[in-house]
Amino acid sequence: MNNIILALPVLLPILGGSSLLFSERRLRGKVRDISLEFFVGGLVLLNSLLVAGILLGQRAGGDGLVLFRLFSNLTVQFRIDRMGSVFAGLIAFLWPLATLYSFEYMKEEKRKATFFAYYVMTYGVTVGIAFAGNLTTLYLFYEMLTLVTFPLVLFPLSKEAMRASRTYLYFSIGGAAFAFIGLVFVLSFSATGNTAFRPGGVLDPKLAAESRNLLLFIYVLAFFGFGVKAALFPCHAWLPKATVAPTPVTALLHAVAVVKSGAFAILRFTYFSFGTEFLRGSWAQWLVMGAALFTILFGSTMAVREVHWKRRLAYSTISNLSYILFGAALMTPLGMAAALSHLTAHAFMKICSFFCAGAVMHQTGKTYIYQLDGLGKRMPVTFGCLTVASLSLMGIPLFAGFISKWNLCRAAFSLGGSGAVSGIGAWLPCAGVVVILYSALMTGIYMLSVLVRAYFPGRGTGVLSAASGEAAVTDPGWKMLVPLVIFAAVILLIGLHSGPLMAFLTEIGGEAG
Amino acid sequence: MEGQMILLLPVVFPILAGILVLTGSVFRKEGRRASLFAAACLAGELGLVLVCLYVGGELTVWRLTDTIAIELCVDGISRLFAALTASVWFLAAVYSTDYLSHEEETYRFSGFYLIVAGVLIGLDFSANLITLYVFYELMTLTSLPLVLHERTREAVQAGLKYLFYSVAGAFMALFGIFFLAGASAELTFTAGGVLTDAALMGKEGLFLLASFCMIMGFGVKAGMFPLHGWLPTAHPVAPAPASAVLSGLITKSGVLAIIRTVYFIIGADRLRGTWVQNAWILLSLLTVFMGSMLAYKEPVMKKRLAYSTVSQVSYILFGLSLLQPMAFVGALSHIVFHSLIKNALFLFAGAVIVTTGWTRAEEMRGLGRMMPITLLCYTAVSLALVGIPPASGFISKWYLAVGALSSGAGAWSFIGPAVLLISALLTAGYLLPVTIAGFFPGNDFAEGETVRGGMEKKEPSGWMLWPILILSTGAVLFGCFPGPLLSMLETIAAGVL
Amino acid sequence: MSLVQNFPFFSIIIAMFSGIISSVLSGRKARNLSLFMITVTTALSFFVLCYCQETGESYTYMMGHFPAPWGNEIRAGVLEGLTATLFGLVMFLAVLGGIDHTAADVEPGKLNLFYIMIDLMLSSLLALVYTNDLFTAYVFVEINTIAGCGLIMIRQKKKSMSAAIRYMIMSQLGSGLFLIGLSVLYDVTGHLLMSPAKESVSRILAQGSYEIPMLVILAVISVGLAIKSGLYPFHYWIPDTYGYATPTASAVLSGLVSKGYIFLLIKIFYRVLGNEHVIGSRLINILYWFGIAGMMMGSIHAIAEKDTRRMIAYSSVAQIGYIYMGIGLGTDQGMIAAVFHIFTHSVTKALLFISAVGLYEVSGNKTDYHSLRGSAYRNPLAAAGFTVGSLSMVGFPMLSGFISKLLFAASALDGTDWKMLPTLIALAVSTTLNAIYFLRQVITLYSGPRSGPKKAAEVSSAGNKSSWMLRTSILCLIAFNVFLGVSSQPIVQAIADGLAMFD
Repeated sequence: MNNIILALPVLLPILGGSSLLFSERRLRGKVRDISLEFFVGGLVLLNSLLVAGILLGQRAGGDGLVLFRLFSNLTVQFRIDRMGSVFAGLIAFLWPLATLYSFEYMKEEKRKATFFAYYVMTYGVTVGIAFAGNLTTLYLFYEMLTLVTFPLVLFPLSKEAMRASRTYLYFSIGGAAFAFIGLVFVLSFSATGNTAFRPGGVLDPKLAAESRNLLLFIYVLAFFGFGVKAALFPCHAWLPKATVAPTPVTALLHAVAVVKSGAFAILRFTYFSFGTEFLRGSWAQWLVMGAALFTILFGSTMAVREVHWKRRLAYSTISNLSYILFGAALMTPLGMAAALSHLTAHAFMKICSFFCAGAVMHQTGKTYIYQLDGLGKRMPVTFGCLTVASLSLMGIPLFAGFISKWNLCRAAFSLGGSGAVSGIGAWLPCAGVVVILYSALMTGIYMLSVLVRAYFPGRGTGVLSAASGEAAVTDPGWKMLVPLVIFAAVILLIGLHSGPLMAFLTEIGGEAG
Repeated sequence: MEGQMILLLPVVFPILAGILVLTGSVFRKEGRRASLFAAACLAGELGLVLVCLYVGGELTVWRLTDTIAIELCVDGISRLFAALTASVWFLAAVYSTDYLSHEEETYRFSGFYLIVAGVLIGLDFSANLITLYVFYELMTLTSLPLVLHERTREAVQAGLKYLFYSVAGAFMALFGIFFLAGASAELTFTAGGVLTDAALMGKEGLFLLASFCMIMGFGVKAGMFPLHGWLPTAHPVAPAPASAVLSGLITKSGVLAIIRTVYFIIGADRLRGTWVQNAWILLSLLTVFMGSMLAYKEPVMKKRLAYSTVSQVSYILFGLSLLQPMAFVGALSHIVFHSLIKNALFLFAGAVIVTTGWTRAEEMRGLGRMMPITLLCYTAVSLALVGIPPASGFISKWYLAVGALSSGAGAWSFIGPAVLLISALLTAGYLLPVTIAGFFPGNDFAEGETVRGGMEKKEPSGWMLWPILILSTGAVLFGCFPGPLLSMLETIAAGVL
Repeated sequence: MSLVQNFPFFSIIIAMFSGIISSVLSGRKARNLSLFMITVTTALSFFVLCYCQETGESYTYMMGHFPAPWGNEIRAGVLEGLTATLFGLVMFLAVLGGIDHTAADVEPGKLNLFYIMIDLMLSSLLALVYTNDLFTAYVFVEINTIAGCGLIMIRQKKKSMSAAIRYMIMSQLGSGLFLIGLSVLYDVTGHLLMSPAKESVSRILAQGSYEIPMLVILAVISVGLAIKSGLYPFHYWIPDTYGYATPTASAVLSGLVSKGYIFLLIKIFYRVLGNEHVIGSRLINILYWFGIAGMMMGSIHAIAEKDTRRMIAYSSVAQIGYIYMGIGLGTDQGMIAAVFHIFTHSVTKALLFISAVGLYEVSGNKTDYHSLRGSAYRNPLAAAGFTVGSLSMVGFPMLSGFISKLLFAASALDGTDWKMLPTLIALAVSTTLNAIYFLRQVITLYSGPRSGPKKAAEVSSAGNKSSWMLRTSILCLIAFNVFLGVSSQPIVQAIADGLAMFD
């Protein structure tokens, strides 16, 4: 009965959220707003505490919880292992803060109950992905994630939003369809007869060896299939469009929950279903590595050219996600640890950046880069946090981004420069390091140019004078500022004191890679 | 934190002082207050640095991960750079108390000026490659506001260019750092290098590539061709004290990084005779020549001085690239001399702008009558830069030439000194005309020609004059009495070569 | 012989008699009788299913006094029982859901005719499911066609008339081909009962004589039934037909009738021609490729459609393509997948049509894409039903469509060599295509301003009152879909057992 608690953090938000959907018409006015905030905030906080409790109390291993049997060998099963706890912990930490932020951000909106309903449900579904004990469960919650997030993209109900949500939906379902093929194959070729995650993979070695090329092809298909959510080129097109959604959605979902689920799924699929033994050194590995590298190049370059702030950050996300995928494609323990470190670091960096952009939008309504002149003085805390996030994204030491880049490049060099692999395997990882550094330079360009504008507006732009016709612009309220500051602090913390985290992640890498 | 805690003080003290200046409202109203405060702090800083240099020792500040730590230490190279940095920084600060009274938002300039001082000392005291990299990046970021200070469109553009070139260079170097981290567990600076043959087995090609990337990457800061483009753009738009320290010291940080990398991590022996060394020599010589050429043709004074920096710093790089003791000594001594000289030159240019408003060299006629002392100082340092004995520049050039000839680097042994000679001629060509036109303006230069402030004697104020004087004197004195300096440098050279 | 064994015969007879009796009843009474009858027959079929499951084998039942090999025979097994039960359930819910619309659409005087047609339709479906002789099969095929025509024509609008005529022509073409095939078969084998015919066929094929006639039989029967069930490229009549009939009729026609013919085809493959021979011939591959083509082209046409009903109709074309692809795989697993998809599709299509009706009601009775904008807020349950149906079509986990997809994929992996990759790719692509047009519609439902056109408001208030039947129907269909999605294992097992005893 102990294990039933595993299902709670998944089901509680889903049920709680859906109940909100039906309450849209009940209360009105101020009372309703406050009670809504309390309900939602309390629910999210409670859930995070639950997750924290589970993670701290759980011993590694155990059979987990089998919810029900979907079909013959396909069961829906939850199980905590180290990797799942990283993702779950990350989500549980970020969600309450993001919810707090969105209370203030969405204050003026109508239909708040609907918004928060889906927001909370997404929480539950994402925890479901983190807790998934086998590929079937992961796939199930993966599809559900699409379903609960697309109303959020649709939320503004503008023409743009409709088109964006359609694109999002088509891409996601298309991707899941190909990932489904991967699922079926894993089931067929599984040594244990089911799709449970096992470090080192679950494929029967003999069977797998017989149909090696076919399985490699399917792996590539599934990689791209799951890669849709991880914004892998060419399946990335939905992400910049989805920025039309309200900032809390973009930040949490499309910088953290949805896209990280995609990366997480790929990590699970590669290391725990197929297994790196099978994939290492194959043409499939180089292919997916190349795709990841290309995406990094593409994302960074497009970000520089983009002048709409949120879309710029979206392209930055596309690029950064492929850092994680590159680490995954290295298929070594170090690579896995590095990928996970960037998964964590980037979540904080990107959500901080998006929230800063959202704060500016909320306070001033400005969305384009060239409108941001001189705001650095007016909104010091916001831009201070943005500075931290930007420097971290660039990879300046003392910030979290440097740690993950360090790990990624070391992992790449230990594979490529080691002289142990020959041919393409020797230089592609090294090329990867070059690509990452190029991307870092581009990141510097596209993040710092915003900061320079904000802090050093050119003379004659007249932003510093009140005569420009704006009302006094200030930092947003505490509900939006507190999360920002906390995120910035965490970025610094990870940057300065990453020891414990990296030790934990290296363990995960060691057992899986 | 373990070790000599006092080493942290010269790093942290100016940074804190700078933050105080930036945020304290008392500094915003009266600009002069800020620059005076800065000068005072830097005087104290100079004292702190000298104490640290005397005490010596090491300090582990913080462990970033299990393998990377921020560490400081004081050795020969640190002493050299730190002493130079602290003294020049102080002098330029004194200068700027008066200069900046013509500028706005002095507090911001002074604040960042202080912060950069602290970061630079940290850079000089770095004990391993990672610490070096940290301070290197911080230096770029914190010196950016100095370049941007005027906030005109050109200033912002120049600042961004500076930023991106520097960051690009830093990342190129980072590529090498990542590789080295894989090849060696230790990245602490050790004279003669830390790499072992076993570690590099099978990766020689990659190793050479990584080394080259590091040299080129750090070389961006030092203005090495082909990535020197930021220098001539950034220097003119910054206020004179900023240009001075940019040229005089911040470019030297690139050199420092190269020294540390080549001599204290990679080891000079590993690069000798490789394509990396040849490319390095070629590029530095190219820069020497090109810089002098462009300086010669450039009419705007500050830009001319910027090109001159490009050229002169590559003298240093050339000396380093020869991997030979005498050339090494020549390079290091030129670091000192050029710093003093270039700072003096920029401060001079600033004085002229403030007093007369002239920015172009051809306008600067009759200065001999207006500010004879200042022009005299200018002349002294110009001669030093050209390399006329007994001024300091001669010493460094001599060592460089001798070192080149005995370096056994093939054709370069001869080409090098030849290029140096040509460059010296060009240097004379671009520096001395001002002196000549200043003292001998020519018959067509009528008295009472309208000039800002008239033609009476009008030296720049004491605050501005004294630093120029001190720097020039230093430049000349080191030429006359080079002994102590040279012996110290020879000791260092013996350690690494 | 236990009582249960009579049930198949009873169900067919009851259905027919209800039809006959209804001709003298008024509309309402006919309707109630119809509903009652459907309930009864479904229950009977269910008992048959249980019985067969217990005994573990199928049994034959002679009708009339003519012994084999000339008389009429019925055969009931697990699969037949299961299919009959399912058909009955779906028909019940379809009729229930469409009651109001039917009442509104059809002239009061002719209402009982509608229910007569329904009764006849059910009886012929049951007969097709249970029959064991070819002649009976043909007779009921014709009855089915007539009933179908009647259902379409009942609206008496111009479009319905032309749709009915088109239906009639295409159906007759199919039936005609079927008859030709039957005749040649009788000629060659001398039997009309299925089991003896099979022995004959095996003997002939073993001898190697009559090769061409056998091939002709195979081809002609398949094509005939393929036309009637709407396999690409014989599908042209479907969108018009399903598009212009009453909702009940559309649901029944697309959900059940086409499946009945496919069931008959499967039956003929197993019990007359011998499955091994069919697989051995190239015919299976043709069915496979047409199936895949249908999957793609059906969806592509659907994407281009603006009218929702025609869109759903084209979707049927695509789904029937799935079924034929499954048959075309030529393995046991493939057949199981195909049969399961028959069930899935019946339920889901009925759900879609009935929900769509609910949405049209609150949108001024318009059916095009844009008019339905925001209708989710006017009729939440219907929109929910439509959403569930769409998601099932796309293959969302926990819904029946997912299980179908899974079965198809798993069967592709099992011993099909070259067919595996095209199947999998086609599945993935088709999912994406389905997502495009179905989910696009779903988005439109939920977006846009809440208030529809003024007319809609009036109609909706009228519609909301008396639509408890509609609502019940939608809810039950949703529940059914989810049930199939979540606990499909016993059903799949039953199908497997049923197929094992099918020949």
